[in-house]
Amino acid sequence: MIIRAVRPSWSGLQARGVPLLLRALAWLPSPMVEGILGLVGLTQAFLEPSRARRAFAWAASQPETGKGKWRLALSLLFNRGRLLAIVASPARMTPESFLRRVVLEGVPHLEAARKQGGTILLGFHLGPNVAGMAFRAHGYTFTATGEGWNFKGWPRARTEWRSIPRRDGHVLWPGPDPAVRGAGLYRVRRALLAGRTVRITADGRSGREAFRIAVPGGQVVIRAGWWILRRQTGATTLPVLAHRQGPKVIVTVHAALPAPTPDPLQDLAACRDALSRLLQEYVRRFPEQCVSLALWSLKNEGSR
Amino acid sequence: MTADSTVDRVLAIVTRIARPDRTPPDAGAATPLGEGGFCLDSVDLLQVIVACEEQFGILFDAETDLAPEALRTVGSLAAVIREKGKR
Repeated sequence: MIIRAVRPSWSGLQARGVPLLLRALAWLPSPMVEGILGLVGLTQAFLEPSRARRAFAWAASQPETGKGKWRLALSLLFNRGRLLAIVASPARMTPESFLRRVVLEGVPHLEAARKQGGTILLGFHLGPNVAGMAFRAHGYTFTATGEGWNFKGWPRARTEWRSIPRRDGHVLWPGPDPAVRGAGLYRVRRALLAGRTVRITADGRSGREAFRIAVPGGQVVIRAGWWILRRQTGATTLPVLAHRQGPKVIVTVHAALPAPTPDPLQDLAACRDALSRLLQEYVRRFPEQCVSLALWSLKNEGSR
Repeated sequence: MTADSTVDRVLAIVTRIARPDRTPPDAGAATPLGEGGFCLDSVDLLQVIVACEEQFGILFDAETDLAPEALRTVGSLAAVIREKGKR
């Protein structure tokens, strides 16, 4: 008889346990839930030393010195749980209280772009993932895209959210199949040509690589899907970043990337320059909120 | 639109986008667009779809025409185009 030692899969436990925990805690005030989840994030690092090592390696590559590096590493691990709790805040908050907490900046950029037609809201795996809910709470509908949320049993938003306009469609491309993703990109193209606003992530796990942006401690791999779409449709592209600032979460719609030029290489360079400035500045200001960039063992799944 | 001419025209589009380095020497209707064939990624496939629309003067139905099976081989994509031509 072969007896195998069973090692717990922490990522599997997290995928199942975090939604359960968030649902169980939904009655508590948000700061308390975020604190508890933050402690879970810290505890997990002790159970999974490779995660702690990544946090300390990230901190070591930032400009902080001495104890600042320790504080940064611990803050990063704490934020891993806290940012998940923030993402789940519609389960605890009404749209009104969410709006008091989550500030949307750069609205004039969004308004101007939408008047012109198809608009790409270009997101990144940096900071709290609340931009979608923030747009919705502010009354902006958009077509959501991507691989889908992989936390089963994630707590549902409170019933008050039902009166808020829902998304303007959802283009899902679960898994790495290029045929599924190619057809998904085509659907997004049609949405943009119809003048709709589409939210798409620039730095996903897979897809053709457009370019890389060096930041302290790593590289952000920028994919080509959004870039091809903007070239094919002429859609205005607005980078969107979010960060936590004290009790508030700020979602910033940045100025549009330069309009596409006929020369693709020139256009690519212009996008790279503009995004490099934004992302390098973000990492410099909020290294403790770059949870995915610092802690994910982001396997480059390549061109799909 | 005959079956052969549609396949040939789709094959020409795919070959142009895949370029010679990814085009199998014996490429034909049964050649996969993805792995084991032209190795097209999602961005390539988007370009193929758009080029087919321009070439054949059609507009795909984003919801129904482009199931993953339609984008498996040169022949399966050509079959969808032929069907659209009939309608």
